[in-house]
Amino acid sequence: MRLKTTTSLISTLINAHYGLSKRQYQYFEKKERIWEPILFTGVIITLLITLGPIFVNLQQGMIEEYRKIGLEALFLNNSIMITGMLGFFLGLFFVVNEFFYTRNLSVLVPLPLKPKEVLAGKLTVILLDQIWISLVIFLPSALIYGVKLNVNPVYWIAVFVIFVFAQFFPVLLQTIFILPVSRFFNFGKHRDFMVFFFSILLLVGILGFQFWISNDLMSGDVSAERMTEIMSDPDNMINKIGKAYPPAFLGVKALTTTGFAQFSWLLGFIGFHLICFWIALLIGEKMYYESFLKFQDHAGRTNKFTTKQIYSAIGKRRSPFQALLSREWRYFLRVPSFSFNGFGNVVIFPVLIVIFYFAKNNSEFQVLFEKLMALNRYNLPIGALLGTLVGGMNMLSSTAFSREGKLLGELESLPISSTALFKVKLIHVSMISFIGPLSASLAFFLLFKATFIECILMLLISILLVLFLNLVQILLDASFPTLNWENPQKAMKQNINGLYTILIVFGFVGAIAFLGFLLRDVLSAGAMSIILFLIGLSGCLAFYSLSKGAVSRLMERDYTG
Amino acid sequence: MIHLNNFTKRYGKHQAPAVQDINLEIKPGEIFGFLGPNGAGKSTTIKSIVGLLKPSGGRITVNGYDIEKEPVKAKNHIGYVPDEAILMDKIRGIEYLNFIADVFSVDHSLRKKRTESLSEHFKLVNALRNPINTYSHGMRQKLVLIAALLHNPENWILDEPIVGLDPESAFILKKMMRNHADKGKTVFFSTHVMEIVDKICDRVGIISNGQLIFIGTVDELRQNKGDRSVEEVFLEVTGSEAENNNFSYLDAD
Repeated sequence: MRLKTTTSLISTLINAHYGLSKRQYQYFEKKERIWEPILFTGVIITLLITLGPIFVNLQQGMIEEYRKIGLEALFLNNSIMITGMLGFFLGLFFVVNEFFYTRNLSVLVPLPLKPKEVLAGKLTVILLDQIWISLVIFLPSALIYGVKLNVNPVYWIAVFVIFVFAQFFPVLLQTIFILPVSRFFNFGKHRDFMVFFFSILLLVGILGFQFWISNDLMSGDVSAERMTEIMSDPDNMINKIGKAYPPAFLGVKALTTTGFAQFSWLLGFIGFHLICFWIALLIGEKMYYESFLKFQDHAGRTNKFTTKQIYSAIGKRRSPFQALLSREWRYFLRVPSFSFNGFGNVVIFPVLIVIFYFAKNNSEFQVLFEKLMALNRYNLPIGALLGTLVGGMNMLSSTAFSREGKLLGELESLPISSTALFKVKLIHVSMISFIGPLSASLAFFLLFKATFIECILMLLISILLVLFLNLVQILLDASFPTLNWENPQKAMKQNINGLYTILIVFGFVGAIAFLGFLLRDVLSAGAMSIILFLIGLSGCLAFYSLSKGAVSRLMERDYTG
Repeated sequence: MIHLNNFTKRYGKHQAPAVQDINLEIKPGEIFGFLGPNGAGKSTTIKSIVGLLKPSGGRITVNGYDIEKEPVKAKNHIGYVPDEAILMDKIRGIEYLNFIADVFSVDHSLRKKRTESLSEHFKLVNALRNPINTYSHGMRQKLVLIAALLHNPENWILDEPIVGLDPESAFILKKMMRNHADKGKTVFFSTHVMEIVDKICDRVGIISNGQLIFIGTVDELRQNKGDRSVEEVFLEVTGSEAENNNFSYLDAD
């Protein structure tokens, strides 16, 4: 690897990825969209002020609980493990997209760059992108732990090192897995789908492994004897965790030991990650370009298309509206990062229900289940809010126009009304997001013995509320779409509108739930449900026109490609 | 110097070859025009020469370096302009040129001199400080061209380089291509503009359905088919029936 060339490549890729020069030009030279950084900073400060104290209290409480049983190291272990697991989940599609689907590869491959150099550049970008997970999850926990337990100075160095390296393992493991898979398997026409499918498979495999390890740790036994046995030998517990997630084991040791041992564990932690990085580069050297070039092999010479085949493929005549709806579905299903993310967000809950259903007799779930059963007179409002939360977090309505990217120009040039486009988008996102209310109603029917009538009402109310939230998010995305992207992942997970979605949906559901809790002695479950219904109805009526208007303005504005 | 020996490209094992058994040698000092209808295999060939596609058979060498076995060495001798000006949109034009100069290890004083001259010739000086996403199609094409020429490569490989350029820039590029070839270097380019082929090409190759059906000078092409325009000869060689077709059906309904 040539240092100067690699440095230049990395700095260029970082600049291009984050649009540093573009933002500098936009904010300081053109003085445009200055509200963006102000709004972003405002949101962050608001989150810190409102959620910060709750988070600190919660973390301090947890440390205290662990301390009582002499397992405070587990607090740090959980923090590192959660950071890593989130890295697996959130980074998966990004890794695949960055390696194989970004258009900048067409710029980089013809240049005299070694595969290792390009891979190093791309990995750096991915790792930088993922570091916010460590910033939000690991760093605050480690800081609170350090301050509360008054640790030694080396602890803070270890915290910094772990913070920097925490995303290496998930990202590199995905890289080490996905490169050979893409190289050795010929997926033919279903290449995009298969790569995402294999990635999901990896994720499921990791989750299965984690589940198996955690079962192994407790052996399904939470008896007093077993707990005493665990508490008598905390080191044994940590050692077992090492099997599940080696970085957490090394990290915990580097944070909790002292003297020479601490220094050695820290070096071990760094060494482990550097070896992983080196293995990824080594595999990349052998396979990256080969895999990438194989990905280009999809535009085969077209076979002869007979007149009969043309007539049959042209199909029946459809109305412009039907054609537009069909286009919306096809575009969504054929871009894997749209379909996997879109379905993933709403399907994860039904999957959890199935797990919960089968695990409800397990002693660990029994207590939680009984607590929830005690609230079953509030089944209707709670179920409706849960359905709203699951359906509202679809991330599709807040990216309805961003996902079009430069194709919005195509839509603007077609003879279709903005109202038709608005309706198509709303129908499409609603069809997917209604899985949320449906699965919540089903969950209450199966698990909490909600009556059939309750479930139907729950479904209706949450559908209305989800529709309302979808309209709000469409309004947001039609007003501030992110259209200039080259990687579909940027239109979905790296879209700032996604962050606002979390705030809107969680804020709405959280505020309503909080109010419901305060008024629980004044309002019956029925009254709460009627209020929810009225909020949904009035919200839909108010925001339907507003969102439609925003779409109309979007379609009328100058197309700048 | 570019050599293609029995070059074949197949997209997928069971697909018909997109390009089959091409043997071609682009000699130093010549401008070689690569012609063919849409989908004939021009871009596939060019992308394989620059390493964007992997040949399914045969061998491609650039200045004696095999593009598969010694890609970095081969690419060091190439200046490539793709058919679509794909660039990193969010960086400034000058930053992109700097990056390219770094990758090709262009000396600092040389890169300043060449950046200045090329951007002045193509009238892009004032736009270099702006992010690339603010560029028009033609400006992007110019930037790609400047980047391809910045390290003064021996082999220019240009995939439809004239598309999107204004008449003055197109004229400058044609002149530069001639100068480059006259200095004993190689220009390999694809185009659909027959007038350019007629004026500047030393030799042409015509590809149709993935096979090279003609290779020789423009004069040889004409002599084979009677003294007709290059456009007419091209249509005949590629088996086009466009001349005899009746196109009135669109207005008939």
